[in-house]
Amino acid sequence: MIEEGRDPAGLESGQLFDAAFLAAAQRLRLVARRVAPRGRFADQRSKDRGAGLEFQDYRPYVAGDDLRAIDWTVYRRLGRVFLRLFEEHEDLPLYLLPDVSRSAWVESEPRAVPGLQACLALAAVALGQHDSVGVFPFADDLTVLQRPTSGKNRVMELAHRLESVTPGGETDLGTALRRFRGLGLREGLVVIVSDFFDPGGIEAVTEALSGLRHRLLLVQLVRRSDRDPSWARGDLRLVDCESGDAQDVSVTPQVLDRYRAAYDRFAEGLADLARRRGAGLLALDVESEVIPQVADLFENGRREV
Amino acid sequence: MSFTALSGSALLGGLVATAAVLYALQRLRVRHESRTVVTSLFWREATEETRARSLFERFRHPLAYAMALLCAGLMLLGAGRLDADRDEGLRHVLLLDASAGMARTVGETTRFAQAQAALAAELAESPRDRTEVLWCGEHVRTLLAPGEDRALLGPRLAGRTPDLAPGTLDRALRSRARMADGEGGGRRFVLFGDAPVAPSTLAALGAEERVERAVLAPVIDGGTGITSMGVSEPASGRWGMVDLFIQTRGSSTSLFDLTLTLDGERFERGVVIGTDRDRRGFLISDVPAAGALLVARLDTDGEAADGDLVADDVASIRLPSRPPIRVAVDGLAPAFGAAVRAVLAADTAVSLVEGAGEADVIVGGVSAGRPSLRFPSSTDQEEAILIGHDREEDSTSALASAVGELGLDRVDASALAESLGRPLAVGALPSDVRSVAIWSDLMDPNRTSFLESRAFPVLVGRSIRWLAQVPDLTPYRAIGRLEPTALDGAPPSLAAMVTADLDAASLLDPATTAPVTAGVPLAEPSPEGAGPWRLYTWVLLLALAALSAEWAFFQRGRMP
Repeated sequence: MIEEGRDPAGLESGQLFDAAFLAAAQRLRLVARRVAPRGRFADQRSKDRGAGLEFQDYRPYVAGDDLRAIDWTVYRRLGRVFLRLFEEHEDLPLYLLPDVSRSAWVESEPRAVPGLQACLALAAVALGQHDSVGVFPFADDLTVLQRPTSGKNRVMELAHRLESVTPGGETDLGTALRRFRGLGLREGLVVIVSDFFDPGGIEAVTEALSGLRHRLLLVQLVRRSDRDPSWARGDLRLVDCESGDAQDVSVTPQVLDRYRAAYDRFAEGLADLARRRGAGLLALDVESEVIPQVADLFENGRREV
Repeated sequence: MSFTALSGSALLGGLVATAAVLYALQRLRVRHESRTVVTSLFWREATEETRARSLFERFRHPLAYAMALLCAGLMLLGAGRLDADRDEGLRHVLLLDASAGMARTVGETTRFAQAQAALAAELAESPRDRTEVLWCGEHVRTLLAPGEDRALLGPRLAGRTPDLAPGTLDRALRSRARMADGEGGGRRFVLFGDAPVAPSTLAALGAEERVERAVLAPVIDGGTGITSMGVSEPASGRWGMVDLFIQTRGSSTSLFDLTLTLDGERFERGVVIGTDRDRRGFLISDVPAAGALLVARLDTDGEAADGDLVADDVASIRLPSRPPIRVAVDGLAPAFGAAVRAVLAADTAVSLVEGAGEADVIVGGVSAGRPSLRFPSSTDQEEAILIGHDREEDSTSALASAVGELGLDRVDASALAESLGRPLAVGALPSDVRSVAIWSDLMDPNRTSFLESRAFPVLVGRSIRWLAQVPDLTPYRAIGRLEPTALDGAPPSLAAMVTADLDAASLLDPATTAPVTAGVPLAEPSPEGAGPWRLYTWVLLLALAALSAEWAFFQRGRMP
């Protein structure tokens, strides 16, 4: 439900994360640890060669290389100095991109709140496994709220930072992701938490994600009334909260049917996009508890993130 | 089918206007309720498809328009009180009896109020454009013309009370029945009141006209009242006196006393001369005819009984003035002078005076411009009796009436002619003053026996009265109007004529005191017979059902 004339404001202290939520997030960390038998959540093989445990290759010595990495056996056999290269294990950075556009704030129960809660839950899991977490809220542009950092004790700090998020303007995923790419961050897992109501439709979302070279998890913030607007009745002037565009609608059963069909096309397009990108897609019901939905993501093992 | 509240053209116009207004409202720009949404993306897609398929882009909701028109039309039909005609084309004439009898009290209300209520009920069921209402009080007036709004009747009747007048229902009915009826379709007269209608009036109605009397609450008691009051020549024959007759009516006549006052003083005389069921007659003999006001009052032991009418409990009459006729006697022949004087002296109406200046009538002498009774010789006058009458009268008719008035019919003319040896003739001439001239030869005791006959004093006495022009008596008075007709059941002695110079009489006709409503069939109850479940009731229920259906459609989002 949208309160007419409501001016979106930021979050009050404690509104986003209370003690109960933080406790639940802690349990989520335990759950994630328990259900990751194939390795740590953020483990991956790095393309960088370094001082790991598993041999990968040789390369010629160059000045400045660590003498401890020289394979003296090869030197004795070939008379040339080569360095042993080992695969270097490193953390998988987690880049959280919460949508803070106006549409996330105008409702009486803003969907930005569960969105940010989901971000914190995922951050808690990542930080608990020594992965670095960066937070980049976006609306019509992207801002850096938290550069990638790691450490178990960063959860509270991150929570405070998330509470300082302020509402943005119109959703422009394309511009936001271009700016994100420009940050030159190493490859990681990008989690976009948004309603994906880009004025350009699903086509604009698809185009915006096409140039992203990261692994991807889409968290779609949904509300039951998004598909079934039971409040819509009679002759309405519907004003887009972001663009301000007005749309006169005489609501009839036929119009409602066509509305649902349009919404279904959008949702299907998003799911198809995730499928093609090999990305995860979580439809987060903003009217339900966040933690159980996020936990469900790991417990079922549906997504390998 | 007809509309009892609206005319057909008004209803048709209303329907057209309603359809036009609803159509205009449909065409008006819709006032949208503004709502903010998180995205208008999907709504835009949905409405773009709608536009592409819209058949009526401007007239957007034809079915909703039809539904609204149905609701409005049904409500208009209900407001117009659509009803099934009891008689197609029949015109209704409602006559409200506003005569004095309608002031009768009935319990806490009056007969008039009962009639008004019945009239309002009947009016509500009658087609407006074919119904008129008449006020039948002292005069007949139109209260509500055909086509006028019935709401006007209340203000027009506000504060009105019945007139102190006899019933005019019969007169109004006869008048309306005579009026040309070129519209056809018949007429139905409904009487609201108790005033009688003559059988002859009912018989004069046309084949397509009928009369009904509205059913009012029955009157327990017909009431008591003075229904007739009159004076006549006294049976005793005494000059200066009159006999007074009073007739009362009512079943409870034993409960009251009749009190008479003469110029304010109690006057107690009289006898009951007849009783017939609820009718009682009183005769008061030899009441002085001196111009006094006689008031008769019914004392009903305090307050008026239920069903009684106060207005007819008091009646008054101004008694005639009958002073003695002053007669001067002069120059009578000795042969019959004594006999004439003796007759005049015996007549209580005559007062003999000396000198012609004070006399009303001169006997014997020179008339000196006054009425006179003369006795000329047969040589001076050709006719045996010559009458000088007023110039405005015709001599023939004056002579004919004088035969009775003067008592000439009692004279044995043939015997007198035989005694005189010549024929007798009676003549009349116009004159400035009245005169009666009789041959002195007839009065000669040596030649005729006329002086000894019974016709002589009659001729002299009546001649004196005729010459003095004593005014006639009007025997009957009712409701301030003269009614020179024979009394209903009154004694024959009251048929005499009495003076008409009366005032302050408040007598009512017998039908007012004790109404007789028989003869007119009572109005039949409405053939619809279902109380409030008339046709327009069903129409209103249908309108309510249509409104409920529209609301249900709206609630389910099936109507904009």
